[in-house]
Amino acid sequence: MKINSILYDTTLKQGNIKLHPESHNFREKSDAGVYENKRGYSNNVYCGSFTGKSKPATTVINRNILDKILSSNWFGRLAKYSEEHNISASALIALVLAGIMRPATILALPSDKDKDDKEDKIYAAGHAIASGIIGFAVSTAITSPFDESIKKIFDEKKFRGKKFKAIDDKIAELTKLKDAGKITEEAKQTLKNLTKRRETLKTLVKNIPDWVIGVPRAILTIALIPPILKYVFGVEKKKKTVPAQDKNVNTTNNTDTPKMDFNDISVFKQFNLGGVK
Amino acid sequence: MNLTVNNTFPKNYGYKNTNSQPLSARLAFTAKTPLPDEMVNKAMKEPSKFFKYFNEKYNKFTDFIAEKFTSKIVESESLLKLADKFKNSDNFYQHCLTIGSVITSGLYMQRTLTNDKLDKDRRNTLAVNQGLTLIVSTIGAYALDKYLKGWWDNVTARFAGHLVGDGKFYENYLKQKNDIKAANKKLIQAAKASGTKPELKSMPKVAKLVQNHNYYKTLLKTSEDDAKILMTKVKGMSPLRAMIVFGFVYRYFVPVVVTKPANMLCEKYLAHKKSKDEAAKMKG
Repeated sequence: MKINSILYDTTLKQGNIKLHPESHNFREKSDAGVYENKRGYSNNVYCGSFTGKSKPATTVINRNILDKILSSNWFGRLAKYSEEHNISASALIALVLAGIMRPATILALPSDKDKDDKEDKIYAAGHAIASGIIGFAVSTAITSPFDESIKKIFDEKKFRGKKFKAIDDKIAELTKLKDAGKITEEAKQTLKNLTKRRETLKTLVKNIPDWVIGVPRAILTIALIPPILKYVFGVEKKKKTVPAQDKNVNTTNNTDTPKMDFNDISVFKQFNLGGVK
Repeated sequence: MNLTVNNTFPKNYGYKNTNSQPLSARLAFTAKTPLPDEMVNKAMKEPSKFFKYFNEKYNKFTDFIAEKFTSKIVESESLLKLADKFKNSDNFYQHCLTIGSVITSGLYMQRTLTNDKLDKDRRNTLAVNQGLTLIVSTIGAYALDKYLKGWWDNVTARFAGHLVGDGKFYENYLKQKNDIKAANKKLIQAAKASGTKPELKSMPKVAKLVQNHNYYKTLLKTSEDDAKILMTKVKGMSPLRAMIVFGFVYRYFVPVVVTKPANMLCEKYLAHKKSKDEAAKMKG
């Protein structure tokens, strides 16, 4: 197998060397396309990098990663879902971006030197996750029946009205002519235009529910985020402290004078429990 | 049930340790089922009574929506006209995504403008900030989408190659694409020399190549449903790109990268305005 030739090739980490065709680095007799000349020393120079000169290694590895994703079942399902359920799939992508990537970035970013904004960061991350989840759940629940109804009209050709049926009939008629090879250039253009018009209409109808639910969904998201954060994630928004400037203003009129109760401070609490051990 | 255990040593026993092989490779089970295969397959395909009940109800509900709502929307003259107007647009789905974002951002702007807790200056500045962020990010999303289109088409061709089981599908697509690029280059040069507008050839479409592929043609004859699913997957790649790009810009890039500097600028502007107003008052 060609991949083994690369796996056992220690030269990839050792810079430029000239390879012997019967090197011990290779356990297999078949090579990875590195040797062109089987007799004597090869003229190929292995650069030790995956990019540029070691073309066979680069192609095999690049292809393996991308092809593995593209040939996987989940990717096929995602592509199908994206076509059939535009709004829900878009919300799913948003869920990944806002529910995983955004919180990860927020938490990974360094804090301001003069501020302890760890709690704010956790709140912002929770906010992003909650909005992603609500967006996906609401979009999927509301738009899935609509998507199914669109499928019935456009693909299964049920419940069609007069105008839409007329478009479909014209397309079927012209397609028959095309298959028989009797279509004129003008009719061919008409068929092309009608097919495009049908596809555009389908996309338009599929996305109308997104515009209709846009406002109620945003209101619902705003309303649901605080309880979700509180009861699901256990995060609550910190009440903003009064800025230092404001505290100094009218101190004489300030009735809420702070109490000097040392028992509330964690260090002094231990004295109540019998002193520091 | 008959059970057969294959406990013979593999041929390369002396070379390889058998324990390193998976159990399934060392043991071979053969069992006789009491039911014919057809019955088992049929039973596996049929949903349970519980799901069957809900499926029927859901089906009736979607029929109702299709008949009473969706078919009427499809029939509306304004939508048919709109579809006719945008039928040649390559970015129609992107426009749909943008409209959705404009509606949501519009709601947030309206809430900002009617927020009693903020003073008038702050409300207006924040609303303008939100509007400008939306415009700039939308332009960025369109630009990124256009930039990635060529690469994504190649990925789609590769994906389609897997679906039709043709190892050379991708190479053929690339070859066609390069040929058209070269031809278009010549056409542009010729048009420059003659001073006319060149009629450029359009790039090959993956969906069309799949339609003309023998595998798809055979599948269409043997199983129309499978052929439709295959085509849906290929067509789904285009909206998937737009979803990823627009989602990345609106849901990741703007909140993480753009919002903070935009708010800082907003605060600076407000502070500058406040100091200017105070200076004017002092003078007055």
